[in-house]
Amino acid sequence: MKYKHLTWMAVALALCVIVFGAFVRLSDAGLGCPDWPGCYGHITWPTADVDVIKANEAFPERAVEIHKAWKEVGHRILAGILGLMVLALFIWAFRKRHLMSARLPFIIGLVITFQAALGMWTVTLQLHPSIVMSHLLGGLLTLSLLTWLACRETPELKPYRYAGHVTVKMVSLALFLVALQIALGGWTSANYAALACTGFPQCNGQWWPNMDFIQGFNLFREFGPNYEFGVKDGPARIAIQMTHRMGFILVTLYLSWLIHRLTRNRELLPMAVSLGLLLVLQIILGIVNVTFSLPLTVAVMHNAVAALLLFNLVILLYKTRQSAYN
Amino acid sequence: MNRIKQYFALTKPGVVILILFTAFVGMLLSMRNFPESEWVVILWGLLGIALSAGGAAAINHWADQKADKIMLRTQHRPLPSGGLKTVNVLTFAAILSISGTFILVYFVNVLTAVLTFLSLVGYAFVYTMFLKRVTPQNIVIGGLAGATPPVLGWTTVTGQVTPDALLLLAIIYVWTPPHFWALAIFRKEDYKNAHIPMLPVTHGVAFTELHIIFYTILLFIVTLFPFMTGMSGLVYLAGAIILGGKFLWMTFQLKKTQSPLLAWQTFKYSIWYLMLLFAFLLVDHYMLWGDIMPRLFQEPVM
Repeated sequence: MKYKHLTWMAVALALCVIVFGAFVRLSDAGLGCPDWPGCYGHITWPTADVDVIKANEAFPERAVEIHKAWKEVGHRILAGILGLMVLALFIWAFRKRHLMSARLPFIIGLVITFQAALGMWTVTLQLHPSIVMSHLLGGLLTLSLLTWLACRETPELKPYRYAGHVTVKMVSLALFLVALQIALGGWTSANYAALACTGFPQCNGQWWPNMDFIQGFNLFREFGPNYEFGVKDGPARIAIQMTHRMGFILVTLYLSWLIHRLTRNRELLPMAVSLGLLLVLQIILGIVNVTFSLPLTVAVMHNAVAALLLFNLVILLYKTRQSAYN
Repeated sequence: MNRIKQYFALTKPGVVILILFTAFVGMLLSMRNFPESEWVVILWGLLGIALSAGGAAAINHWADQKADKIMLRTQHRPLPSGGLKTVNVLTFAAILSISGTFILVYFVNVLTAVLTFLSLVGYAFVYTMFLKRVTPQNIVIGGLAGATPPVLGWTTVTGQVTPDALLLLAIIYVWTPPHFWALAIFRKEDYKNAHIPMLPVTHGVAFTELHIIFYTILLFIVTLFPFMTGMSGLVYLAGAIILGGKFLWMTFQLKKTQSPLLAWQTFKYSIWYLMLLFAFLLVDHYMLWGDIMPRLFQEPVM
């Protein structure tokens, strides 16, 4: 196995960890284990009847629910394997530091360590919205950095010979807008605001409903209360949902324009097709989320496609940045 | 590795992807809700349709090899370039078509299998071996075989043909002539040398451009029907008008300037047009908003 193979495996696993994390959150299993790093004091989760009774006594505010506990533990195990893979990537690069740079694997290691801390706080601070959103963004940052590393270590992945129709600045702006929109999406989910508006494009039959942006975007609420299923008022949640929708319009317009530019050049056409399909799919999934009351598979796919969009944009940025004419 | 690539090229992957996309949209449009348990049958349906379409493309490669050898666009194909032998191509085509049909019969339903098989015969035999060499109306008639994918998708899920599905068929059917004639204008010399009676060869470029305009007007009208029957809403209507308006404008420019380059651009735009139009159909389908026309013609016809 070569170094590049391990990096691409790490990319694939990072994608799985993100999507599985979304699955855990969306099936309300984020607090499936009330403690960290164990689960009700077990390495996996309590299964025998005696253990379940003991666990229920130790955590009276949260009785054992096996179908939630295994999801949470599964996410931790997957993330742990990813952490070990990144450690291996760093050691491998460090031992060959006369040939390659070990700086990026080291940074990814730091990000993952911080992700572990955020994962802990997600549990101990009872799903505080800011922590939950940061945990999502940290995961996507890990994915992006790993993708960049994988691109760099794969010599076969050639930069564009000529990328004149798109510049580094345009792609960077696209990355920024998509990241912002993902953050807004994470904020929507963290505050349980996905169903604040039924219907699309109107919100509860109105174009501009009553909204409370001050409360909706208060990032610094006190730690302490249980934030599961949200604590914000209706108008605050509607404000969050509507901001995500306004972001949707902005991102769709900008990405459509970028895709249009990508189609002018045969070399860039595959990226245009892939971004275009993902964009259409993402719009449909988002609409289905609000018009069909958040079906679990659709909500998870909405997260997965967002990650894939980001993944594609990182590759596009890499190939444009290394292009000779930019 | 090179051989595998050539076998892959036999299936015309670009065309198959467009076929699968329209079939997939047909599947999704046939259901009111977003699919959940239906994913299994959707995947089998897509696999069966993909294999059949690939088989038809391979037969087309075999039947067209003499003409392909003359035309610049197709000289590098596996058969004319000598990369693959006739026996291999025919065996490959048979395996694909038969396995595709069997998958549709066993895992989907007989109606879909029969319709897919008829489309395969229509394209690979009736169109390629007969119509194409006989009449300048070849693609108008033969376009029917190429227009079936959304109906195949529809029957995969529901097991019946409804007027809505036929509306999707009509859109692609009317879209095919302007799409193909734009290419034929650009490749006129090629078709002439290969003795294929395409409309620009037999009746001239100006006449073809006039017909492209007529068919695009027809297409514009046909694409309004999903809105008028209540199948789609305002968002689709807006999309259809904008996309169709641009198509129409391009065809008028084509008639005015007679530029071969514009013919090529019209051809490329027509592909984007179809993909985006179907994307609008899908987005509109899940919006549950802007549906203002009464729902008409819902009884299955088959």
